[in-house]
Amino acid sequence: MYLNVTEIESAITNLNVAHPETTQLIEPPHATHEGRTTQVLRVGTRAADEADGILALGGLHAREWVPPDALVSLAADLLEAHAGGTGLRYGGTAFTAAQIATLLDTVNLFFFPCANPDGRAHSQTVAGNWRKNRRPAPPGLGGPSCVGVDLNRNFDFLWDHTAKFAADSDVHTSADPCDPQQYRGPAVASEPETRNVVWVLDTFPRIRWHVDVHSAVPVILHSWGDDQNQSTKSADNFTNPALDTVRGRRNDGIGEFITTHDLDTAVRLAQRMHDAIFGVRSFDYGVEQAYGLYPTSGASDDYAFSRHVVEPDDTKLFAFTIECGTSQQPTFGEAENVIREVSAGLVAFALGAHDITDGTHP
Amino acid sequence: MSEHDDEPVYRCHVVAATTDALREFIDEVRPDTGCRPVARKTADGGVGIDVYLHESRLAQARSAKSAAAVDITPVENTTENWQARTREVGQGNRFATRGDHPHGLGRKE
Ligand SMILES: [Zn+2]
Repeated sequence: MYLNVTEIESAITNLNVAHPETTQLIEPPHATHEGRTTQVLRVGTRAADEADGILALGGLHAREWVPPDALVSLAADLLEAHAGGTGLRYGGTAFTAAQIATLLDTVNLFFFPCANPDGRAHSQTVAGNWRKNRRPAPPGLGGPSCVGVDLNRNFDFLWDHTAKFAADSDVHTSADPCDPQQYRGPAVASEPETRNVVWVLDTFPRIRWHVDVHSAVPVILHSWGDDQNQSTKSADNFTNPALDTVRGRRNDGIGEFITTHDLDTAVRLAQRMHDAIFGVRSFDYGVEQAYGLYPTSGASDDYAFSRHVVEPDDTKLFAFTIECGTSQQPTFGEAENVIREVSAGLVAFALGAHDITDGTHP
Repeated sequence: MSEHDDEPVYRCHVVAATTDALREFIDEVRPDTGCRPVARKTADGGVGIDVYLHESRLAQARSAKSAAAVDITPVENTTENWQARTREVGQGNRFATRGDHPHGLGRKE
């Protein structure tokens, strides 16, 4: 059975009660429009400021039911295996007891399973196709689709897409409050759910990796999402206003800057997840740049990776989106297979994160 | 979209020979492309994406000018599927008692 929003928060609370030595319960400060609060569970044997961290985020998009369940399941797995001194197996992908012990001793995993509980509750009980949060409709706009903001277009990364992209780039974002899917919100980071994610990154500067779990394609996405990557002109980047009239077009010789080293690191981290996922049941997720057919703006992964460019003192966060499974609401039996895939991918990612990012094993 | 409220929504595989043909279709029909508009290569060398269309818009999409260059295959009535899936959502709170916590799907071995 899928978790409802009450169960997600109780599960997190009770995992903390059962494993006080290896977890920390973290409560982001902003209540949702419907008054719900959400929690983050840090899993690791060392304090938040003593080890590097990974933020594993889920549930930004309400109708994608599997990611929150996957993150709760994985948190429970890691804690139980660590406490019992066992390894973990997901189909054909297995991790030894020593690897699980190493993981918890060297990395902090920050599980934020359900960032948009109002949306999930609405999707699970009223309107299955609901994607946004539940911000009340602006005054004078009454239709049901005029409620809500697409949280994954609300982050502070080229948020004002009409000003920041070429008019013909067809960036997949909307300024129309009644857009049923992609409304960016009335202001940058206007939404409490968005600000909670930002708060986690601000509060825990040792978080170096960000994995936002969505569904479904499937695919693993790496930076960037606003334009095609290029590694030759560092001034051609998202902070450059001279590109505001041309950003997002494909094959125009202008792209978003990423160093070859960072791109190589990002691809290898994504590939590590991919290989572990493939091992579960031979399902090929593939690895792609987030700029696919069109650019996007205001997404959590681009925001996370952009922070160190905007503020050079900020931690450089490598950021990814996993699009898991093939359906947003599979039968729970199939959801269990997808949960195993996401779990295997994230464990392998956590085990490889330091080596790949810091080049200790080139 | 309130005019569509009673209509089922279909998830459709849309496959084209080239990325340009796929993009032309999306530009004309403007379907819901899910989280991120990312296409994947198909086994036979084409390129595909899943889109979500209300029933009436599915018919319109099939008769779009750019539809000649794509194959549109409905694979899931998401509205019907959702009704079935709601029976697989937890009722109440399985973890209401402080000692009750979930066990993950990994095999502990
Ligand atoms: Zn999504």
